[in-house]
Amino acid sequence: MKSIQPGVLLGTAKRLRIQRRSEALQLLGIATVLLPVLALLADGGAAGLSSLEQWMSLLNRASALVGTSILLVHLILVARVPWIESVFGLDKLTGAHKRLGKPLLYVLLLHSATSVMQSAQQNGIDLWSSIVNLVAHYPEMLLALVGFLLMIVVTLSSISAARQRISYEFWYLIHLLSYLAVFLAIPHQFAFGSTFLSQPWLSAYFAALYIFTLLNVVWFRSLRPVVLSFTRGFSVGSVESSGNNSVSITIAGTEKGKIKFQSGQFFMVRVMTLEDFWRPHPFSASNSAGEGQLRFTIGSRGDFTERIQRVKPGTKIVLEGPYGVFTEAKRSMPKVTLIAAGIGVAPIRSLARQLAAKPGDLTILYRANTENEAALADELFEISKQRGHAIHLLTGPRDKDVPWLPKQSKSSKPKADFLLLAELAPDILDSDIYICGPAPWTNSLLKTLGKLAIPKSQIHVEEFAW
Amino acid sequence: MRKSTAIVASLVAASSLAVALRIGELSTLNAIEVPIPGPTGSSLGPTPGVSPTPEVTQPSTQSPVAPQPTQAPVVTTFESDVISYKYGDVQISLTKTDGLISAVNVLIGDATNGRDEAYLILIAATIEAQGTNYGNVSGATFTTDAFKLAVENVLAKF
Repeated sequence: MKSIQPGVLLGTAKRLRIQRRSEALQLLGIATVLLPVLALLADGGAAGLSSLEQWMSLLNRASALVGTSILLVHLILVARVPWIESVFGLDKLTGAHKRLGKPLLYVLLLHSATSVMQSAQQNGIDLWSSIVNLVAHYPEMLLALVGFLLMIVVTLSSISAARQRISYEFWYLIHLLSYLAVFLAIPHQFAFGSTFLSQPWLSAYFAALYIFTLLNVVWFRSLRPVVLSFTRGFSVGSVESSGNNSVSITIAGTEKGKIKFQSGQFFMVRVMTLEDFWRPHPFSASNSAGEGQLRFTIGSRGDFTERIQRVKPGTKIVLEGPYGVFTEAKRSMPKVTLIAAGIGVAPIRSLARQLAAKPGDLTILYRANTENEAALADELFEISKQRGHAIHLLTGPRDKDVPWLPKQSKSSKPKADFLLLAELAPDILDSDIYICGPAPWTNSLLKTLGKLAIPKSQIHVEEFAW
Repeated sequence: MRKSTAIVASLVAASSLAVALRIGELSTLNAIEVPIPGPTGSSLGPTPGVSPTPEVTQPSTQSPVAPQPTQAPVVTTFESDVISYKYGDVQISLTKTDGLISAVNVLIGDATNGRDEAYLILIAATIEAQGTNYGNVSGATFTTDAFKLAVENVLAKF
C-alpha cells in the first residue's frame, strides 16, 4: 500500500511554526490581562498616590481589572475553541485552566478586601458596617457578593483534597455554578467600575470580551455538538469484542466524509441513555478517516466503560470534537516511533494506518500484559505487514525498576532501559515519538527517553485517562 | 515557551507598564490644572506624599514670555480630606499666595452627569469670596455642600 497522505510537511521550519503559533497564543492570553492594567495606569490610576485610601483604591481597581481578564481567559481555556484547541490540545488547556483557578480566587479576594476597606475608610466606619452598607444599599453589590461566595465554593470543591472526597457528579454540578457566579458579578462592574466608567472604550472593550467569551462557550461547548449530532443522527452501529475486556464500537452516521478528523484525535462521546447522557467521555478514534464508520475501542475499567461494553446498537450518540494534537500536524521528523500500552493502542492503531511513511520509516512498540489482552494487535500486525512498519509486541509482567518495560529474562545479562529502547526502535533519535498509555507507564517511559536527550518538540503524549 | 520569547515578552510588558505609568502621571497633572483668571492662576498639580507639610515653591508661569517676579511670593498648598457625599467623593487642594486664596484644584470631583461644570463655578466663587460665603450653585446643591466642606476642611490646615 502506498503512503496515504503523500504531501505531508516536515522539517525545522514546521517545528518553528508550531512553536511560534503556540507562543503567540500564550502571549495573547498574557496581553489580555496586561492591557486593562495599562489602561488603568495611563488613565492616571497610579499617579499622585498619597494616602492609604488612594493606594487601596488603586489595588481595588487593578485587582478588579486583572480578575475580570483572568476570569475570561479562564473560561476561554475550557470553551473548546477550535483555533486554540488545535494548537495546544484539550488536555493541556484543561491543565492550564486548573492551574489558573487558585490565582484567580486570590485576585478576587484581594479585590473584595480592598473594596470593603476603601469604603470603610471613606465613610469612617468599621469593616463590618462597610460590608453591610455596600450590600444593603447597592443591589449590584449583593449580587456580586453572592457570585464571589459561589466562586469560593467552586474553587474549594476543585482542590485535589476535596476532589478525592466528592463524586464526579457532585463536583460537576457545583462547577456548573461558576457560570452563574460570572453572571452575578457582571452588573456591579458596569455600575461601579470607575475605570470602566471613566473610559468608555475600556468598558466597550470588556463588553466585547464578555460577548466573545459567551458566544464561544455557548456555541463550541454546548450548542454545536448537540446540533451537529442530532442533525446527523449519530448512533451506535455495531459492537464487537476486540480482545479480552475491550470492545470496538462503530458510530452509524459517520460514513466516509460525513465527519472529519485526523488520526490520533479523540471525541467527547455522550451515550444518550438515562444514566449517561449528562456526562461526555473522551475516546480516541481507533481507525482513520478513510476506513468507513468512525470506531472507538474501549477497555472495561470502571462504571461507564463497563456499561458501554453492553450498549445496544441504535443507541443515540452525541459527538463533540474532534479534539487533540496527537496527530501528524505536530510531526516534524522523517521517522516515527509509536509506543502504546494497554487500551492506549486505539489512537496508535489509527496513526499507524494514516501517518505518511515509506516502508521502514515507522516503528511500533506495543506493551500489553499478555498477547490475549492486546486489543487490536491483529490489526496492527496486518497494517505493519502491508505498509512495511517494524512492530514489537512487548508482553510479560512489569519490570520493577523500569515499569514501562516487561521484566527481562534472568538468563541473559540485563540491559539498560535506554539501550533496550534504542535496540527496539533504532531510529528513535530522528523520529517523532507518539506515546499513549496510562500515566505511571508514560512517566516511566519519559524517564527513559530523558536519558536519550530527545528534544521535547519530538515527543507527543496522549493520556487516555484524564 | 522558549526562553528568548519569554525574556522579550517580559521586557515589552515591563516597558509598556512604565510608559503607561508616565502617561498617567502627565495626564493627571494636565487634568487637574483648572484655568483661573488672575495673576497667579496657574498652579502645580498635587505632589505625591507632601500633603501634611506645606509646600513652598516658586510660582510657575504658563507662558514662557511672562516676566518673572523680582521677589518670590510665599506659595502654600494643602490638600483637603476626601469628603464623601451622596454622589461620590470630593477632594481639593487649595493654594494660598501671600495669605490669599489664589488657586483651588479639584483632585477628586465626583458628580452626577452634567454637574461637573459646577466645580468651575465653585472654584471661581471660592477665590472671589476668599472662603465659603457664597450661595449654592443651582441644581448642584449636594455637590456645593460637599465642596464647601472640603474648602473649610483644607482652610483649617493653614
